[in-house]
Amino acid sequence: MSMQMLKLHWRAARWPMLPVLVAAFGLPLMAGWSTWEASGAADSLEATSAWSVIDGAAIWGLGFPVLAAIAGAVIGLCAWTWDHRHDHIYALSLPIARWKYVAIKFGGGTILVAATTGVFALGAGLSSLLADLPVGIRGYPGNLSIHFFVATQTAFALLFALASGTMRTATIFIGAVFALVIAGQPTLDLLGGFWAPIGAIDLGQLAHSLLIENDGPLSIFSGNWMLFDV
Amino acid sequence: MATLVILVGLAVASAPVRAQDALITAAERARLEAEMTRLENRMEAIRGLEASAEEGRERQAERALRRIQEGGLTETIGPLVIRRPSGTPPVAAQVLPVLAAFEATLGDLDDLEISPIHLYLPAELGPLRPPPRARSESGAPVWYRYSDAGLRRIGERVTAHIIASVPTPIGTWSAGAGWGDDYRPLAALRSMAMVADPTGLRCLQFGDIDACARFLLVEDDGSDETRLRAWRGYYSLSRARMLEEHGATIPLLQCIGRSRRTGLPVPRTGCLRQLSRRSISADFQADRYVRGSVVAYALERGGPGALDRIERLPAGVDVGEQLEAISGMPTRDLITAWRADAMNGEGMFEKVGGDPPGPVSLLWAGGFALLALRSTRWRLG
Repeated sequence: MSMQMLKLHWRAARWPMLPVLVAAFGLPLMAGWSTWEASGAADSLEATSAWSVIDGAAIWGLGFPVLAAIAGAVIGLCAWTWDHRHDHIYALSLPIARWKYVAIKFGGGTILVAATTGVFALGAGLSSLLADLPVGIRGYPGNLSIHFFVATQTAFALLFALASGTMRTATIFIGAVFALVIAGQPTLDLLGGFWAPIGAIDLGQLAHSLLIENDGPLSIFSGNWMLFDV
Repeated sequence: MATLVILVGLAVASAPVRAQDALITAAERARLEAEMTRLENRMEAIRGLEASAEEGRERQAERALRRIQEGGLTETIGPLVIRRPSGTPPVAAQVLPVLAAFEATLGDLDDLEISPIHLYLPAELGPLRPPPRARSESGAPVWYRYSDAGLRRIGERVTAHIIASVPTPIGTWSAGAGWGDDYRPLAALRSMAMVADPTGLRCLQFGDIDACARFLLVEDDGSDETRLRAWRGYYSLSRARMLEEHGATIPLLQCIGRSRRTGLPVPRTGCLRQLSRRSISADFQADRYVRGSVVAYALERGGPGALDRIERLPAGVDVGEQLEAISGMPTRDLITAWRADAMNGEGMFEKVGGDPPGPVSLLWAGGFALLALRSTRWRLG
């Protein structure tokens, strides 16, 4: 049954996942591209300087957590596509408890996350192997792949939990987040005119400290995502 | 005869005038004298006010001078003596939560026998946050992971947390980097990896300590020549864009490139002429984090009392002597140890570039999964 559910999950996710998988393999390769270019350049010494490598890795590094979030979101949302479409008839026909069904589905999603990470690790490893790095700079394909796995798994789990309810609940939640992002701070500023302590709240700072700082749920998406670093 | 007639005529003519004068004096004398006295008094008052204003200005100037000499305004909040630059707003609102946090752990700070903890604040004070919770060796909750060394140590670490610039040569030298939250070992290591200056390379790659001393202890006197010399050391084609963002013009960059190729010293390059219309940005300090890492390393080596030792130093000591005072070891030994740890990725430079994510992130993922598992009910719709 686990294999059947995994296959079903993959069938629901395969087309949206195709560009994600291409990016998972290609982005780390692109991060190392500048160092390969350097070997053929006239001024190879300058082009492969630590500065250019770190600068390039920092720019490409911005894309890795975004890619992980997209991959996790796609896998998480696609996990429940068939169930919502057919009103959970297949799940209800099975002689197992709901939590077991959900756990199997989550396990299948985790396998897809691991497979995506495998593709990413392949790209990162290849990029590090081919890179001509200056003294003092090292590649971190393994560490970055672990980061990628944990971040993708976090995004997957979050969206999986959200999508396990009704579409209405998911829509309300996502709408509330967007409303908070767009109208939250102006509303607080407006209320601050009546009661000063409310106006003193910095929503962005609050969200940052709750979600990212001090090992918050989204902290994995921040921090060091460099493929090449000191 | 004629003369006599004229004199008599004049005497007769003047007689009514004298009588009139006598009449005015009698009527107005008192009023005129009163008015004169009032005007004289007013004049005196104005002179007095002028003198007072002058004295006030002198007093004000004296006070301002004293503040400048003392390094800023002083506020005392509990055991903390806070010196802040005159432009900085009062800091009580920011400091009190930290004190409250300490008191929650340690009891009333006023009851503890401690000498005042001196805090130096920068002109632009960022948000002050209590340090993250941690546990001491005995398992008791504390507010700083180094707090097992006692309150004195906490005070110093509080100081380190809120220092961004210390009004001492070493604070200027490190541009505020290296103190508490401003210590960024990753940035320091990246900066070290990007050093192109021959002296810096001799220091970092080959461990030439004399080169290290020259590389690290260069005083930025703010002159264009000094900064140009630093730029020349850091210049490379790939960094031209970065230098351009910090105020370098294309002709200046070309000039620096020529001077590197020809090996001419800065005063003879002619590049300074390119600066006739504008100065090089003072913001550009490529080795700020490198220097900051030395400060952080010295603080770590110095342990408790490191900041006190700076306070006890006489005025006018140089950066090397201050580093020696902080670390409690000769500057050369400090730099040797710092360089070895930085290059080998040991001590405080360990794993700065490659820390794997902690288990907490995976726990969050598990928590989200549990949310999905929490219910036995299928939700339709």
